[in-house]
Amino acid sequence: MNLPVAVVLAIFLPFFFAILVPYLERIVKHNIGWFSALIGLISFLLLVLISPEIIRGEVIHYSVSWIPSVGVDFGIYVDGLSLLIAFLASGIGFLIMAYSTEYMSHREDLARYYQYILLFMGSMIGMVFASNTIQLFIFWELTSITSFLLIGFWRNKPQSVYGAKKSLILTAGFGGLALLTGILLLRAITGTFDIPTILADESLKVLIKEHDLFLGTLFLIFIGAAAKSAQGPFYIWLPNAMEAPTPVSAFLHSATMVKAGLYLIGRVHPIFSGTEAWLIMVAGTGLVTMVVAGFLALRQTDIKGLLAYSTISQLAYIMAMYGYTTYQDPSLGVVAATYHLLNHATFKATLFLIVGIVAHEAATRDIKKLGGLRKEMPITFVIATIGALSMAGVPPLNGFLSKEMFYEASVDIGASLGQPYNLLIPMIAVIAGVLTFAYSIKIIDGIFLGKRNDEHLPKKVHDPSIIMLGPAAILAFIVVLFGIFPSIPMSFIIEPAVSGIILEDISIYASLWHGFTVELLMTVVTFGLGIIIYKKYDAIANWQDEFNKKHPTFSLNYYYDEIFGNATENAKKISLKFQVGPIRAYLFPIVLIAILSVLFPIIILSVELTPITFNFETPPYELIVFILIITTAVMAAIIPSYLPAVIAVSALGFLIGIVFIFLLAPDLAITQILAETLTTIIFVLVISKVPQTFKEKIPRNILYRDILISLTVASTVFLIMLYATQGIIEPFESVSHYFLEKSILLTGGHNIVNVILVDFRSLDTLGEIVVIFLAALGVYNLLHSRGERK
Amino acid sequence: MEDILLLAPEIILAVTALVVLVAGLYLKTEHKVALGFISVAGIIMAIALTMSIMLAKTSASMFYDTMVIDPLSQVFKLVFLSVALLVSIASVKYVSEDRNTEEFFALLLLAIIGMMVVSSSNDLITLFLGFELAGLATYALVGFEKKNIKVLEASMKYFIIGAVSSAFLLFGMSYVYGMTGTTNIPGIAANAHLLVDNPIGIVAIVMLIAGFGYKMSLVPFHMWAPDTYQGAPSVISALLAGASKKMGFIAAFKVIIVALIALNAEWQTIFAVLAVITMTLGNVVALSQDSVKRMLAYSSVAQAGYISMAFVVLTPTALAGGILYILSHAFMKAGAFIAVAIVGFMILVGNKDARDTDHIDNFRGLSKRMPITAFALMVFLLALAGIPATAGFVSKFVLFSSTIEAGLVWLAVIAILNSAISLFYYARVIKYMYFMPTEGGRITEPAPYAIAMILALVAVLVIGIWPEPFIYWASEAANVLLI
Repeated sequence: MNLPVAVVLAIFLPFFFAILVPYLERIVKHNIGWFSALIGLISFLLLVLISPEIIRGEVIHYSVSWIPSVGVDFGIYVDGLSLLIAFLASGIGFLIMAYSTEYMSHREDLARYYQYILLFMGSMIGMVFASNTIQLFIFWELTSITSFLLIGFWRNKPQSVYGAKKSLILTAGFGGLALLTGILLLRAITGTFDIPTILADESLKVLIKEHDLFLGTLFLIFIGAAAKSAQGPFYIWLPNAMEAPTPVSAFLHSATMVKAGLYLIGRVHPIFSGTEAWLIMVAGTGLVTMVVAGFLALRQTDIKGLLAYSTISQLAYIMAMYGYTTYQDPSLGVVAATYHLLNHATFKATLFLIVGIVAHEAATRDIKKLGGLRKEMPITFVIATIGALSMAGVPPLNGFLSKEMFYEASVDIGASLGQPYNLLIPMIAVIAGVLTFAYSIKIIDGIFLGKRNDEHLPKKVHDPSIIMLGPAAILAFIVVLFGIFPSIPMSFIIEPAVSGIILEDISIYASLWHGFTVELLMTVVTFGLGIIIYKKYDAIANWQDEFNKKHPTFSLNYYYDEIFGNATENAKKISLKFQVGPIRAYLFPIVLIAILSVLFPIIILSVELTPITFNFETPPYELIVFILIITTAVMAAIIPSYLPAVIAVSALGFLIGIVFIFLLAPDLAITQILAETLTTIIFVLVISKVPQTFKEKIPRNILYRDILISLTVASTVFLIMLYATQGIIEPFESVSHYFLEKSILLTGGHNIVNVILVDFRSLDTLGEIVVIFLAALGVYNLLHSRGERK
Repeated sequence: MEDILLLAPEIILAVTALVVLVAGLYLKTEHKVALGFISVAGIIMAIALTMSIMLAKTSASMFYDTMVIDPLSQVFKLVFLSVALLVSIASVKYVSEDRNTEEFFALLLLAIIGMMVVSSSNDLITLFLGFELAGLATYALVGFEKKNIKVLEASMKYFIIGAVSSAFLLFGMSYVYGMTGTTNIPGIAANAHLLVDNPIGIVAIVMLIAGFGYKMSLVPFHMWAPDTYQGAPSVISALLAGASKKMGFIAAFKVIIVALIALNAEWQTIFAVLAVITMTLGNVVALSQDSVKRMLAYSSVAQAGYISMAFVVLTPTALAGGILYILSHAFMKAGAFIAVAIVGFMILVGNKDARDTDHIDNFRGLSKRMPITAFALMVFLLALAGIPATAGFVSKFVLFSSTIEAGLVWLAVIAILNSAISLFYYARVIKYMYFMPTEGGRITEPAPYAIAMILALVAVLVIGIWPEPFIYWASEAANVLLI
């Protein structure tokens, strides 16, 4: 088969089948799970088909243009790293769906469940194979959205809705959009969205590292990865995500989706690593998170909660190791990280499946209510022990090897950084290891060892059917196999994956026994301290609970709830200020801006220009008219009944007409007086129909506000007039010259105003007459129809 | 004068409007549904003609250079005509039992002609005429249900603020004329330094921004929009948000960008602040709305904020992104409002006297009662939020990435954060439609509504999945602005 076709099929087969699921479910009922699992298996086999090519050190790169004008293509890029994650997504997906056929009650909405899981699987595979950052982002968000849907699968439980929303806000909202910004910044630097292009071009990488935006780009992309992988302050969504059905938690929230962030870190490793910022951000966040999450895991009594915190802590190992690769041999940390990524997926999925089995059979996940189940569930006990011991780092299991490598890499980086890091980093690593050891032992001891807790447990508890045990057993087998024969995963999976990150071929040698080394010493110390911590386990947990009660605000969740939990209420408070209603309030900002925009330049002008010259030489009879104008204006404003106010206004109008006469403009004066007469008549006619006095009492503050507005407007206009008459603006050639020259020549008329109206602008005048005519028709019609209705 | 054929779309619409008006006089109310079909036919003809003019890449100038035909004007005409098509198809059902059908369609067509005149105008006078024609027609359309007090309030507020803003606009234009000596837009561009060098020029520009900003619903000129969108009939809200608002943008593109290019960088910051305030306020206030139409109105305010980022960035890609956004937003918003109209129809079928049909409680379990409408509305809302594979994502993507390339990283980050906020309130409606139980049975959507909504849905998805031709024409249009 054509290899790119196989890849595209592996991506889109789950999507396509997801659409069919609801219809198929009507036919095959609850057996839909097996059909869905089959799709997972087919995807897995398709990937197996292409793996020889990748193991040989080749990459598959194929793309078609999608939106060429902005450089966005749709393409696939398959290398060892992406293949590793895709294997996890399809392989574990297959096991999980098979397991779910027994785990999920037949009464549940199974079509929706398998639909979401398939959509997630397709998105995850599509995300890792994306050759374009925008395409990667799209699938990235799809995984967040499907995760949201799966966490909120039980819609009626408020807790699961809360958890679903939290994960969506933090991973898709915060992290996803930070990632998008980072991607856009990366494009601004490199001019491309194409991942292989950036990876292959050394000069581009140099350009990125020396660019001003380097830090911002790295930071935003790192935020995206950290939010997805529950690192740093973003860890808070993962414990709440445990409200999902347990197979979903095993699949998304331990084995695959949370690995997406680590995949991204691996993908951009060649671009950003080797810088101080990378070391501080990635390794620093990892080191802090692994200890904090490991410590918090101790407090959990719900095994699933414990596994959630342990997942955060284990992911932090991987994150730290990807961050380690700064100055020295870059491959060591990357190999350790990639190997641990694979191992964690196997042993943690095993443990989640065991928790599912225990909860399914014993009807509780609370460690205080469990205990002594080893005799009743012997097979489960064995599988759980393998998983937990691998997590604790006990030989000969795969977790032991990757933990040794983690210690080795920590010592290495510490040494290369010098004092005081050569002690500090290995110490932090050992502390994390000790915590891991303690809670791993707790899982086995709490569930299977000790005395049977008859008070809380059902009378009869037994191993589940082969359908639920099988997937867990297969994973446990892989844990042992990869532990005893590390060369199998190394040569077939890890080497291609690592060469996908460091971009050169690599050969890794690993074996179970590698001599007496510093790492071995650290492991021995870890086990010793781990046992001591485990003895003190309850005391530590109690102290943590006490502390939380005393300091409720010392928690990230507290701030999350404050900000997002009350988002709607907070928004309401703000909204009330902006949604007032009366149109006066709507006009206020507009008018304010208008006034300011006029006042501002005038103030600038008065600073810049020479002072205004006033001319107060006015004949006394004119002065009388002006005083009368002011008096009538004031009267119009203060008279408390309509008719006298209107008379005052019209008196004002007539007085202005007189001013026009003083200014030798009799035609204007006549127009003014005519218009004034008409408006007065209309006013008086209208006023005779309404009450004669103002009934409404205007509140004092509104009155002052209105006075202020009027004064501002008036003084602004006054200032404009003052400056306009000074001739600041260079006038363009006036049109009046044209009319003066041409009026007699073209029309023979001497009255220029008349000539303009009936000759130069005769069409305008015609239009006006038509408008008046139509308006009159309308008025007639209105009056007419009014009479009819009566 | 053979150039006048380039205005054939407008002429056809005008003739259709008159035919509808006159024919309405002689038709009985039950036959008036034919008027809707005539209008739709007229609009389809106009679309075909406009598109053929655009595809031929015709450029022309006519009527003493007061009107121009170029890719910019044609793209915007197509936006207006597409919204008009959706609205008129949906309105076939909405006004089917009204005795004033002819007035409704005639006004609708006149409003569209006004908008088309604005997009073609090359002179402040023609621009203002088109602006007012569209304005007056939409004032009347908003108040079409004249017995409904809420509708009257919506219409009244829209009219008063509109009238004040027109006064500002005219005032600003008169200043521009006074300082540059011409009303011809390229002429103003040539003399832009006269406008910019003088402090009085600020008056002109601020007045213009206020006048156009009201149509674009930029904060603080936005306050009428939520009241009006909420109160108006949903199909008219679709027209306002989809087309009328875009008229503000094309006018601002034509007039303000000319001045902006000549202005200094401080003005860029002022526009950036305006954009940021607009998007943030719109999104935050939208969060708490229980009326879906009001929520859409505030989202529309927020989207205006995104689009005005194009004024800040002013690169060819950014303007293309802005134009693409305008195109996408027209379909997303018009589609969403039509979907709300269908829900209103459903509620009124159940209870004739129902009030506030767009309250979010009425959307409970819509996926069970009207699966097609629920799905379409979900796509529109996701598109508004900018989810990939929809028109919303592509346009946001082009606009935001051009902002980053221009070095305005902070602006892009704020815009992206805003998109995250917006997801909250869109998701809320989806939650009501898909995750909440309902009583009440399955209802079939009336065909005209359904056709209009599905057309919008197809447009949103096509632009989202195959955006290349749209980006191409948006860039062609943007190039006209920046010569």
